[in-house]
Amino acid sequence: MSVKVDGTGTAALSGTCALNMVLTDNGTGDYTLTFNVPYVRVPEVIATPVTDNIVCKLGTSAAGSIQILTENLSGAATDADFHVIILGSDTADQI
Amino acid sequence: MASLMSFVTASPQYRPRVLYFGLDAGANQTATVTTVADTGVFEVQRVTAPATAGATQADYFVVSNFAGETAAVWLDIDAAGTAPTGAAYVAADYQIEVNIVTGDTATQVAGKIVAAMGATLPDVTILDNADGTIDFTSDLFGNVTAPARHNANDSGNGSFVVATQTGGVASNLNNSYFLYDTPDNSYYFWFNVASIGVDPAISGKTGVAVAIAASAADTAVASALNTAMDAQTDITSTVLAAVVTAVNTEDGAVSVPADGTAATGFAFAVTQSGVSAGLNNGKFDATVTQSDPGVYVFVFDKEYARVPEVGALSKSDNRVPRISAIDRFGVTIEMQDLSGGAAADGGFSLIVLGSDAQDAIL
Repeated sequence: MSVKVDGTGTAALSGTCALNMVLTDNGTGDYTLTFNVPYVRVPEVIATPVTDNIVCKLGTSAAGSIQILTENLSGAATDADFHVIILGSDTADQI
Repeated sequence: MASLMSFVTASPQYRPRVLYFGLDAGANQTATVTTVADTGVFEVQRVTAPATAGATQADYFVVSNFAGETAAVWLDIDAAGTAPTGAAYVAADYQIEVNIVTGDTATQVAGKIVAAMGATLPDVTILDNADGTIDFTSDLFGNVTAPARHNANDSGNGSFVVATQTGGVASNLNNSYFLYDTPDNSYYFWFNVASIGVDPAISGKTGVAVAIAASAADTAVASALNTAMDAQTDITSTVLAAVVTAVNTEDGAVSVPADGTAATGFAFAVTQSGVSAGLNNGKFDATVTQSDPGVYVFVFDKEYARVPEVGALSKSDNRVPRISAIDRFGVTIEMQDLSGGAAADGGFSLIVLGSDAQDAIL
């Protein structure tokens, strides 16, 4: 799945799979995406900033949700827009 | 892949399409140019005029220019003289009479010579030193025939004194040039020494004049070259002593700097070769170009039905990728330096994941 998070201003979700998860704004530079249908295993995630001078960091991840943290280049939590690509498997077995 | 397939089953309107790329960062060429000094010297010849009391009717001297044209200048005392008959006078290209009178001092005679000559002899600058001497300076580099003095029929030296003050030497740099390429321009830097150079006008290339003085030291040549190169928008240069280090601002493979047909004699070295950024791995259903340092523009061969999402991961130290623009047709990735955030070259992996369905994925 893939989505775009608009984290500056009022946080909002858009993009290809925006209806398949829910965005929670936990505070400055702290976002959680909760999947409508959890994966069977914890998925892998890539987040890439749209906002200037931002680094995205993966926080807590689980089969049903992931936490993305955004920081400026000095390491301070900063709101940002970013893309997220989530790849996972719905099988419990190892691939 | 299993996840995508099962998702398609659950959401038939999801028509995922994935593109993925590995991009190697390009490199900008860094080259050094070690300059040499200019050798050009303008010849200076000096004529010392006599006072009228020391002169004999129709004494004359002959001066030349670089092209070999000659001017013979003779003294007519109290309007009673006749032109010299000597061979050097007869053969001169320009024959100039100078009217002087009894009682004229050497300084006055010299002044009258300068006035009479005016600009008759091309490519020679005449200077009245106001002390009875006159300097004839060649406007062109190189050796000039030494001045000569005669009496009216060339049977003696007459009353003038002539001497070569400074011997002329050809300029090694005047009108010389070298070739220098950037990804966007093909330059030739040519040397205009003492403002008498002529643009070699190399076809298909951009000429940049480098103005230097005659006999400029190698460090002065390097300084002027550095100024000229750094003034170009796609070159950044620095200078240390006689060495100019030129860095192309854009990545890309280019020809190494080289002397032109009219060679400068400089030494050229490439310390970092230019390399064009390029895709090196993945599914190449897109073209990539680099618009500015650190900015990479991908254009999908086939547009998505809706704007896709993108993941990018740096392959270079101290770089973080950012999506600076995206639409259905392509994406622009800007690599930012972790120290300050300025755009800077860097390699990265890129995944583009989108859907070819217009409908929302439920």
